[in-house]
Amino acid sequence: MINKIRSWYIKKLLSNCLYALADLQRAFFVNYLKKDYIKKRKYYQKILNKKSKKFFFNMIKTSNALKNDSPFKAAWATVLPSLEHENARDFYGNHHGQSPLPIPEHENENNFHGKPAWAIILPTPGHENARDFHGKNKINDLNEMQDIFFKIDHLSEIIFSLNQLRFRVVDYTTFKVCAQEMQEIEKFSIMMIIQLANFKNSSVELPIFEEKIHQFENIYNRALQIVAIDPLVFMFFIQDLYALNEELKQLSLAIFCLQDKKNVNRIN
Amino acid sequence: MLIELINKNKRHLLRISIALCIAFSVNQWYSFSFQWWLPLTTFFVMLTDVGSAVYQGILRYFFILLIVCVISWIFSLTELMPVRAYDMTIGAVIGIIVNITLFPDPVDTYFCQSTAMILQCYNVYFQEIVKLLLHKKSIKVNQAKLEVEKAMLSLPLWVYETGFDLTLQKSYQYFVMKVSEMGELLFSMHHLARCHFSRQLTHIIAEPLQQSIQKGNQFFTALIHILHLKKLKMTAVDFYQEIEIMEQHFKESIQISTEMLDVSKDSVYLIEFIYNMRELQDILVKMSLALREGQKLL
Repeated sequence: MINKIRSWYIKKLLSNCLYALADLQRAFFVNYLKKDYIKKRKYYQKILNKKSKKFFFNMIKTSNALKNDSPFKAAWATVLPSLEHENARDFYGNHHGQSPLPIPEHENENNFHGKPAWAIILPTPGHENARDFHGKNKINDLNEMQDIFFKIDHLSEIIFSLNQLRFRVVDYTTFKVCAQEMQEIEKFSIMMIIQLANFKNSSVELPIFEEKIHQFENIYNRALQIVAIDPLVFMFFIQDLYALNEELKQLSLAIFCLQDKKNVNRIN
Repeated sequence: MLIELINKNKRHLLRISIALCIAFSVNQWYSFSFQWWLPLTTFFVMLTDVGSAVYQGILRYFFILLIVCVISWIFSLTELMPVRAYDMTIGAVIGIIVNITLFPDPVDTYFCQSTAMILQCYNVYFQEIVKLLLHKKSIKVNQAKLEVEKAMLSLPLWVYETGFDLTLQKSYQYFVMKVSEMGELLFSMHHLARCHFSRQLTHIIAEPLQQSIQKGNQFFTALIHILHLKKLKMTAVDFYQEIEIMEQHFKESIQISTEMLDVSKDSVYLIEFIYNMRELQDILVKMSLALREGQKLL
């Protein structure tokens, strides 16, 4: 029960992080699409700072919830290991014709990702079922959520990197050339992040987003290279867009895996 | 940081408590309506940001007055309006005066402490990013990033609020903008440093990059020293020279086509990293110049 609540809580926090990130991305792109973005830079920066503060707050909250010593995990760590060990011994002993396993000396030590040591040492025939048997799927949920958290972290770095463009291009007319492409990129990137925040599969939009990046690359080759004062910065932008696409793909996959596993568990 | 924040909040709480005590006493003896509008207004006008107590207090007074007027008009209680307005005015005067005279917020101290703390975190983060780039692993980089994120929560955004001291507003806003810009640059550099560069690529820029860590550290330390209003013992030297050496080494080793399209992803990332380093250096120089000008004015 406690694991279920914890899992739900962390999922909610991860979702909040992604919403905040989508909000941040929207605020960043306002700069490119407004004529007065240089004149009113102070005003836009104020909004951006507030949004990024909100995002950092959510990230810190999630990071604390995922820590090993958080109250949920501490409660779990003290109550369950003994029960789990008994269950595991019974399970492996009875179901596979093995004699009950000796208790490992370091049974209470939690190793990487919070798994008790024996969970790694033991052979795992019928892997999924074995995990379901003693509730290990919940811990793996946590590992996957941790993985999702790291991916969101990386995604935010890419978004910050992407939007360095607003400091590097100080001429609105340059953005005017690629305004439509920019709008499309903004629309699809935000849409995908929000879908991921809702824990929905966004793989349908990924090829479309890639297509939009290609379109932007085309406009870069045809016009921006000539018009822009420093075309190099647009090349960085394109490279970061590809990185964003890749990271979104990875994140989508991680979320899909988590959801898929949940569905499998429900069916079982 | 936490102590400072607690102090700030405690200070505000103390001010509000004292003002409410005065307001209740005045309400007891001098109120016309005897309807608690006086302490309510006192409390409401005191809920202001750091450094803009007067402007925001007055704005809040007019706001609450307008609401009360509208409600009185809707419920046909207009005959009581003048006495209520009288009470509310007294309440607002008490609130604003206490807010600006009793334990006033040391705006400059708050500002310097929070920005110095952020710069300290940036310094560690920058070093860890470079280590990550050179050695392909850094245990502390994620921890350093988390520290930066925590520090960013105390970014003094109240400098943007309307009514903030006009003499300080421009310079403080400039500084906050530069600090947040630097943070974004570091996050960008972290993303670029994650890329798995070949040993050959990293080897050619390793030496100047190591030197730039040291110089960057000196720069950050100097900025923090000035923000703490301490005398500067060391001299900070910019790392433009190192960046130029890096660029030179890089250009020599890689054939960059004129269209810049045939360059591999790794190379583009490394170019972007060096580009970011240059921008970081620019911001550091601008900030130190701004601080130097500020010291001259003082």
